[in-house]
Amino acid sequence: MDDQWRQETKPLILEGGIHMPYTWTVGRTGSRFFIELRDHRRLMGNRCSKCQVVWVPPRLRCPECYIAMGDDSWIEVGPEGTLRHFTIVNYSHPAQPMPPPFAYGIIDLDRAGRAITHLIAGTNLNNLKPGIRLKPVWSPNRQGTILDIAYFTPIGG
Amino acid sequence: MTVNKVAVVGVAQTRFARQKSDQNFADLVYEATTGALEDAGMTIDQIDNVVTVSNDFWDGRTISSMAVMDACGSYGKNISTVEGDGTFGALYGAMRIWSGSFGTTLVVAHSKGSEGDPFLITNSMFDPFYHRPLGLEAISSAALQAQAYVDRRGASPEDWAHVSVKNHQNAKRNPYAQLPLDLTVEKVMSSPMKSYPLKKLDCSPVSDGACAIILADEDRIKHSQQKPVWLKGVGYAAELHYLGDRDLANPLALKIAAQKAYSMSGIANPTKDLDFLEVYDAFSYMEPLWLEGLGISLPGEGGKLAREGVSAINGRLPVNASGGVLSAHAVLVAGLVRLIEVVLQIRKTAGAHQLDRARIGLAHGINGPCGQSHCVWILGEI
Repeated sequence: MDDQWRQETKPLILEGGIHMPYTWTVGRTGSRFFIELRDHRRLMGNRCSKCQVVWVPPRLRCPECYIAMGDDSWIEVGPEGTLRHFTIVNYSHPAQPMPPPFAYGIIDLDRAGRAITHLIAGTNLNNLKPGIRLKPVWSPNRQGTILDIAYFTPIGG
Repeated sequence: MTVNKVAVVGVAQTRFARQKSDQNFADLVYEATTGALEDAGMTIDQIDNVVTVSNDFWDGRTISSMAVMDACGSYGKNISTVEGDGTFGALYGAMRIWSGSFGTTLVVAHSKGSEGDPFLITNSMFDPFYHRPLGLEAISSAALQAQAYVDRRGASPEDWAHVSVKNHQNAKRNPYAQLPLDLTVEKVMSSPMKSYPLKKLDCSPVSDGACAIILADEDRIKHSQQKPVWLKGVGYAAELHYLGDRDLANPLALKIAAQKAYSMSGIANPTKDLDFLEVYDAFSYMEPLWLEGLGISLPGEGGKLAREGVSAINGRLPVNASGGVLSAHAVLVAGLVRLIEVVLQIRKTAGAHQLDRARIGLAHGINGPCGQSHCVWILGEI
């Protein structure tokens, strides 16, 4: 591999990119979850009739038992919850919905059997600790997405 | 279950670097493929089929195996692809021999982390509805798992710093590693906070590189000039994708995978029966957490192994003597490199990081956020 042409050839770099738009169907189960967020500021889960776990976001089938969720499985959860784990992000990248520093939390919504992951902001992040109570801060311009909750924030600031 | 015995008869890896601007990914695959053939003492016409390991988002094109089909010598052969860690590529390759369909398989993995945007690409591993819009990616999701490990098990970031010191030090003996570093616990602890509690030196680097293995059944190993290293057991399992569905401090899928691999290879007590391990430490905390999942440590006690020197290169049970993923992290490639490192140790050709006792070793790979799925291999000299 010591041929002269290899040493003399400076490799070129091709700059490019891919912009690939999608229109993802949310499905009826997910759509009901997001419509409740958008129109009623309600968080919904559904309960497995076998293991009794309340899943958020709601599922077609219980992920563990693989039993179909019935029409009567839906229940309202939260909107308040308890912080389970958190991280404070100090770097930025273009897919983040807000500038750093901000936090992510794994949050146990009241009455839910599994946690959700969401943003935490609007507070001194240094005061975050597991077990504190959180409430959602609703986006004023709700579109039927997970960011209809702008972020969660500690109750009482 | 009785299955055909399958051995690894050829291995190769490129040197790993932050940016290999003199080689495109086909060049890397060509280097790994020809290296593995040379190592095995075989020619391409003795390879029955090829499994490639790649990811379309990292490559920036769909059907990314087709970009390398000529480089891996698959002209006129069956080529199939695993879009996941290289340990799963080895699994698919071995299954193609265990099924009786093929006598030899070449498994080749490539990745160029330098060419895309690792934040945007790893953000794209999350579902588009619930997680991706939050901006989560590899580092911040791992940070949630690291903090879960602290909250649930009392794990200590200082213990993880010992892992970072150990593995970067081990990398100084490994010419293929990207980040050989002289560190101290204090240096790791005072490195910039990326996503609390993970600091810069708790995180693996962005890497370019490739690697390949050649698998052969008992009939076909005689075509190889190389000492065979046997696949003695394998286990694999996945758990749920949403982070909140899981107890992130309890690697359930790894426990299942490990038990399957131990059962298949007749390992009753992994701490005693294994001579060494190569595990997927994409972040420093992962090494102790995975050691707990593998049944090497009790829950919450994985951090002791690095802190007390048990997992050191000269310790009782060396872990990541190669420097691990912390010292070179070509995504998807890195798990197959763990398997290659186990092969080199068992052959006693690992060079400066050769272990004294290396008759039976464990190689481990992960896929998905926070180790959503795991593959565990046991390899041995007999």
